[in-house]
Amino acid sequence: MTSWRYLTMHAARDLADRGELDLDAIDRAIRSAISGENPALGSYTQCLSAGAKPQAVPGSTAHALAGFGVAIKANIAGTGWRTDCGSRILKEYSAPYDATVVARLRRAGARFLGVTAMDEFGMGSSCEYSAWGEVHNPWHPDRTPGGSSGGSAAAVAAGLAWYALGSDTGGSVRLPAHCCGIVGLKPTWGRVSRYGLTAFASSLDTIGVLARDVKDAAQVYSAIAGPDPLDATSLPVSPGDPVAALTGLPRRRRIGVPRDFVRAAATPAVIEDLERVLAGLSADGAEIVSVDLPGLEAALATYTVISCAEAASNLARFDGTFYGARQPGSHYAAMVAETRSVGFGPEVKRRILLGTHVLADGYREQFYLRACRARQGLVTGMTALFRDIDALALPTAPTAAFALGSRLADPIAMYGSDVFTVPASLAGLPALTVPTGLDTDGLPLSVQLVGPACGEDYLLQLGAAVEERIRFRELKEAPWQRPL
Amino acid sequence: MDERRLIHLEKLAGLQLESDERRRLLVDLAQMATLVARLPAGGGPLMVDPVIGSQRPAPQLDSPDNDFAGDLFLARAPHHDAGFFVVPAVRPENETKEEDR
Amino acid sequence: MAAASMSRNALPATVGLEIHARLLTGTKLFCRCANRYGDAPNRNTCPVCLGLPGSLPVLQAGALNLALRVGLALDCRINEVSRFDRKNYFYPDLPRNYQITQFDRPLCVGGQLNWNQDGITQPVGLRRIHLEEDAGRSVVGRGQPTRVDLNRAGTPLVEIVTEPDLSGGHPARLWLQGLRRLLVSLEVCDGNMEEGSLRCDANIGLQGVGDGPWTEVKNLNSFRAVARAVDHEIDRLRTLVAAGETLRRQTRSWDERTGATRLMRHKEREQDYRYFPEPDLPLLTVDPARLETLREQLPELPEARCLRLQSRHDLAGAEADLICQWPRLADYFEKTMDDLLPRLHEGSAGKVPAGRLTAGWICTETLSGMSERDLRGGSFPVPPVVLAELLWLLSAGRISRSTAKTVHAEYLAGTSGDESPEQIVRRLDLGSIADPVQVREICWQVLEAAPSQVKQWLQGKENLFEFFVGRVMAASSGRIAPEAARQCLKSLLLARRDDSSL
Repeated sequence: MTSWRYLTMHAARDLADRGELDLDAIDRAIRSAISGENPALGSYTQCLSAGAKPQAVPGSTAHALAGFGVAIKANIAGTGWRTDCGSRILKEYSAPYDATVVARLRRAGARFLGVTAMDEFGMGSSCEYSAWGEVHNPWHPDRTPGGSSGGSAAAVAAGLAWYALGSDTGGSVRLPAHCCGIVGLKPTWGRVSRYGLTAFASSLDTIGVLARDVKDAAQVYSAIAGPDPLDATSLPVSPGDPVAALTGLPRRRRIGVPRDFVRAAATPAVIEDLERVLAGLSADGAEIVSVDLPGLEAALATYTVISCAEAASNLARFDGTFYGARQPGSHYAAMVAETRSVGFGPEVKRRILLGTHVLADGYREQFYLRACRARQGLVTGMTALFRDIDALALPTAPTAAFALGSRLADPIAMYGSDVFTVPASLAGLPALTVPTGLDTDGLPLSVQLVGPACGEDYLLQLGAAVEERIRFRELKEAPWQRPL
Repeated sequence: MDERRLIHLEKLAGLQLESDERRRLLVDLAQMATLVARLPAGGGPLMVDPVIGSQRPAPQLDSPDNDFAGDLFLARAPHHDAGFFVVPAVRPENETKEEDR
Repeated sequence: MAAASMSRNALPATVGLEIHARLLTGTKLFCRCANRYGDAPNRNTCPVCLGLPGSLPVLQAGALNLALRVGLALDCRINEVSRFDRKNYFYPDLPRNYQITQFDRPLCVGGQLNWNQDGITQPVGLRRIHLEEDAGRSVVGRGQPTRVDLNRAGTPLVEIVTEPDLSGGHPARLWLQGLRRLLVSLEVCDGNMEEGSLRCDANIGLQGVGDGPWTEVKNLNSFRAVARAVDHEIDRLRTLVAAGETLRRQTRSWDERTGATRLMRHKEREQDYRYFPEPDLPLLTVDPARLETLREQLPELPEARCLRLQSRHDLAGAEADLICQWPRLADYFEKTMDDLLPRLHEGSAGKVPAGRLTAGWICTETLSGMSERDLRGGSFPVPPVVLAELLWLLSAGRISRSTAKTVHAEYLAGTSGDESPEQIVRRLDLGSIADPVQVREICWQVLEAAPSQVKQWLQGKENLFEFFVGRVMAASSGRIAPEAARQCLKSLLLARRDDSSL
């Protein structure tokens, strides 16, 4: 067995269908590889055993997924594991129900390999705010895999999962995909049911996919997306057949680039890489236009206020009353304060307190309501923009994967990692990260494509075109090109 | 944001920081405040329905349907007794009668 | 002292009520757990109402329909678009440590419900009506751990807030009773204050003294408590003002035992609830077409029905009021009348008008022994057709009242088979004895059996007459009309007197 572990899922599916690949044997081999390699990598916090062979429900759209192992981020509920959200306060918590996405994957015959490391409750950009250990970037062990879905991305890049589910609130699927050189898809808000995803910032949270290529991402997305009666904010629109749509290329490709905004925040290497990708798209017939969107500058501040406000409310439930790790207290309020102070890490406390502040009497108008207005302005601006362009292209992050420990003392610098991802989050628009190249340190770079609401098909087509041109997967420096 | 304000926020948020945690946090929050100060002032419509804004009809069913194994869940709770979840006593100054909410 | 009491009485009070009514839905507001009172603790829970991580609220439409019914019946302006908000605070029986309610944009605004007494009608304006979920139940004991039952958590409430248009305890009580009657008749709430289906807080102020209410009074568990607490608090405030004291906004709790309110907290130390829009729920839109359908489906409201029955059937106010407490009971009354009236046109009418006869019967015989649930559900063991026949027989003098009761009891006990009242009367041989010969025979027997009392009557003890009447009623199982018995006894006794004087 040489490169089986690094095949794309769709390639492996073809081989398996022709009888040239034994998916059961591969599953066993992957689990064995996980136990051998995970301690150093840190991508998994729980490794699951194979269990009974999963049966795909006939008629489900994803024969493509049957038998393949998925890694699940620790904030997605499932009855077979502990959903601890990377936090001590949920240390032994086991969900008594399956998230809708998990149920859908089960019906598709997926295998569950394990639960991945994450920044506590999704709050972080480097996976360094996890209660349990560090995650290392498979490209370079001293670098971050990105956050908060760092464990999921690292597992996919290291060949320890065929694909993974993550959650993206301000960039937490796209940034790890960027850092680990894989594909990350954040669908339109409401496309994928949030039932079972531990809420961080409800109006921003989106379950996303980390995959080896665009086609794999499209496949997983089509299996998990679609309306859900258990999520009142889920859109009454089915995903259709985005994989079939991949064979074509959209005829009109008018791509907007917010160049001023990019130049203000990104490093020269990132800017250069973006321009190279854009030149390639242009050569293939796309029209590249510089666009201006005033709301982009304030997007990070807007995101910080809104996400912290919602998080402060969403995390209030964790007080040890009904589940989780309770600390003793002489009376109720003392128990609550002790449980939360011991159970939450410093980043979580920071955000809860800021969130409490921006919603408090006397401050609500100048912070929370102002942020809501700014958000509306951005949405209006984006909607207008998409009447003129088909997609937005910008970097996923200002830099390549930074060094572990380099931003821990500087929370603002840490938040800065999200500057390019938060606009699509605030507007609820779909966004796709596709790896595009390496910087001089050999760390991956990527492009982020943002589409109009429910424009996943278009994005995936465009992303496939970029991928086709760049052939990133063939880079000899990639972890998956190393001999096993 | 000063220490007194932070202590008030802690009470609202059900947290209790150590004094050195609090000192560090004040520095962090001051930095976050400069970030947050970049919010544009001025009016404009308030966004109240997240992003897509479409109205989804409420389910028409009114028949109960629930097969959740509540007793199994209760059994795993940190503290339970005779079918109830149990927490330390609510203190009188925090105590509010049932109707008081 | 006189001057002080004069100034005390001079300040009119401004009283507003805040009512929480639990809706009679099958499910909770945001999940499909059963909305049921009295089950074993934590029996009706699920990830949603437990607030487990990852759970999401989904509005169940039954509650919306009932809330709209209330808003329409109270003449409110229904907001086509309203919104849910989160009210954030920590408490053991609030699983998410926030309550989903409606703050900025409630379902209904405005509206009105009057209170009536003795022909006086006073309008009471409404400020707003909104939907919200209830918290669970905490069993709090001094120094004891707190026990939590989440069966009630997530059950649907409407909160109804009035303008401060009430002037005292008595109007407040009457108004609240009228509201309860309306909610019960609309079948949106069972109005049970003891079980907490209907909860009431009062906001009390004095006209011209400050802006808005000074006291919020809580823990009012009965209509009587509402009346007493409101009056007590008005008096307390007036006393403070007359003494020149500074008033402070307070939340006070009513203590039924001591008959006084006591301080719970000063309003300056009010909780900061950090309201913001609930991101897990879309805006609440009401389709105008559906609203029109609901409006058309509104039943006749109790106040209107009460007046109609009074005028049409000449009922006393109190009787009509009682009957209209339960729509099914009022239906029962009207159906019985529908059958009774034609019969009375055919045959002889009785001394008591049909409406009063029927109402009187229903208010006594029918109501006694019926449970609240039976009255709500409309299960009457005596079908209207049967009751109509029974009342006709009574009205025509064919049976006595006690016979009617006996026959009625047969239906209640289920031993009537499919017999008509007339058939039962015949079977039990309970027909009135009107034949003068039979009447005379029985009276004669009674007098024969009581020689010493007859002797005493002859000697002048006139009040023994009723004793003989009673004996005749007993001997005839009430089948002789009392008037007939009296006439006959009178003639027999007079005859004996004549005999003895001969």
